Amino acid sequence: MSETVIETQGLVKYYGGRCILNEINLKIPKGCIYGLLGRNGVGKTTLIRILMGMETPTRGATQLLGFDSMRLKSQVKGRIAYVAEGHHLIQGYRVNRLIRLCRSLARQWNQSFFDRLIEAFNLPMDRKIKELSTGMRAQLNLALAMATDPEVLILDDPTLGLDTAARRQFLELAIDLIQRQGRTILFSSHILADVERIADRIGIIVAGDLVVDCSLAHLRERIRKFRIVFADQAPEQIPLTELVNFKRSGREILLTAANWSEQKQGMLEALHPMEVTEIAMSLEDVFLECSGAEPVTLTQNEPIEEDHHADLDTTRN
Amino acid sequence: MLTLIRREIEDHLLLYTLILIFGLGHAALLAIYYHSEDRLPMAAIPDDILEFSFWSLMAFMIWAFVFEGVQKGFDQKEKTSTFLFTLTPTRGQLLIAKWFAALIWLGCGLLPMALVHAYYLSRAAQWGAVQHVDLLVAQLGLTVLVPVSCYLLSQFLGLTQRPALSLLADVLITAVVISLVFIKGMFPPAIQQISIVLAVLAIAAGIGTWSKFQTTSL
Repeated sequence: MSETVIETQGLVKYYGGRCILNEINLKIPKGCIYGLLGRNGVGKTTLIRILMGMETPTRGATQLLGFDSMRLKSQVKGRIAYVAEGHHLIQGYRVNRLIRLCRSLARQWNQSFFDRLIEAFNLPMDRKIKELSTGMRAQLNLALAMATDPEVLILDDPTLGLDTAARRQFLELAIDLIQRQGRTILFSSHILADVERIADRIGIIVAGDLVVDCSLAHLRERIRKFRIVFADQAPEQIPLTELVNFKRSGREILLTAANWSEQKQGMLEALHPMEVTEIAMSLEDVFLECSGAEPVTLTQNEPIEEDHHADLDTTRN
Repeated sequence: MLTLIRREIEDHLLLYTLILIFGLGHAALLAIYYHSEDRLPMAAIPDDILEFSFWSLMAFMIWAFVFEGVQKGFDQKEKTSTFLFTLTPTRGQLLIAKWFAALIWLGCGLLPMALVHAYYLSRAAQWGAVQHVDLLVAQLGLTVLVPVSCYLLSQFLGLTQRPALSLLADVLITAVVISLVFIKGMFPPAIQQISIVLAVLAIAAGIGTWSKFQTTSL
């Protein structure tokens, strides 16, 4: 089993009596590119902020590179880079002053790589941060983070506010970093195409629960959607477990199930449907099914192995 | 750490310069006063002017410190500490850098005056003149404690309250502290009592700020 770089154990966070994160158990191994998905306000940013030690958990523990997130020492922090949502930076500073500050605080600084990024982004060095566009701030933030050559890169919705070209540029940079051996990336996003492009493992948070935590390929393979048509009225219930979604209308049933198997296929055929059609699902479809109105829990039971395969255990709430 | 302290100084360079000017100005007046006292039948600088200069320096320092404390609230709004924390500094380092910068600030304002006092006192001691050294040290101590306690209290309030509320509370605290010094005076036994009260307040506010900053949401 590979080394765990990011870990949360029974993480719970309450804000003013409202549960934001509910018993989140997450293990991200070294070299993994983990995409954290969820609708706005489900707790993605809170989870990342707790991991970074910027927020205290109500209960549970979080670790980065094997160290308690709330007690990270300077040397350990130097191995982690973080790009925050909104790219606030220091608004009153000029770009070159901010770069100087970051460089002098960094544990290590890859000047040639940074120069390459700045040149590619064409950032105005003498302008104040608050005068930069959101896209420019995002680019600068990313360049500052990547110049430290981090072992762990944590990105909180980094492409928010970027146009298509800038987003593409960002993804290419992220891939560049990924290609350097052993780098681990955790990034949250609600642009599923981005996640699909670079993540090899994904987590989906719904209302504070981590309902999906598995590899992207595994998720696609195990979550299946069917359109089932019956000769007469469709049954009100079908004897299948691990249903993600179930919609019945007249003779027709639309169902999404996890961990589809031959056994389940047999149980479905025993109902003598007139027609069963599998509907192809994109990541966006899977995401919408999992974060739909009726939440389901897809918990990971197995430890993450290097091939990032894990079984999905689905239970209908 | 040095980078963080330098950043604090650079960010408030104008205030540092003004405090240094005030501090040097008061020290110059004090030097003229002492110098003329040795040679002329009466001091070249009237006591009232010297007193006014001293209180102006104090008022400016307290205002600057309170401003710095209130800045804590703005800092949270601007997310400056948040950004710095995402780099290598720890929470403790961020706060210690702020405190070091404040000490330098204090030094800019009070060190010139303290040096002038020390120089003329040592000269007076060489001549065998009786000087109230203990009193002067106590007065200098109180002079340090007033802005320090105001600073730490306003920093604590800046961390725990909204900027507007913290500013209001700061003004009240400053008014109370200065009134206390004015009413009780800077002579024994009041000077020791005020010093103890301010020292306790400063330590409590310092501990409160430290523990709050360790767990506060950045």
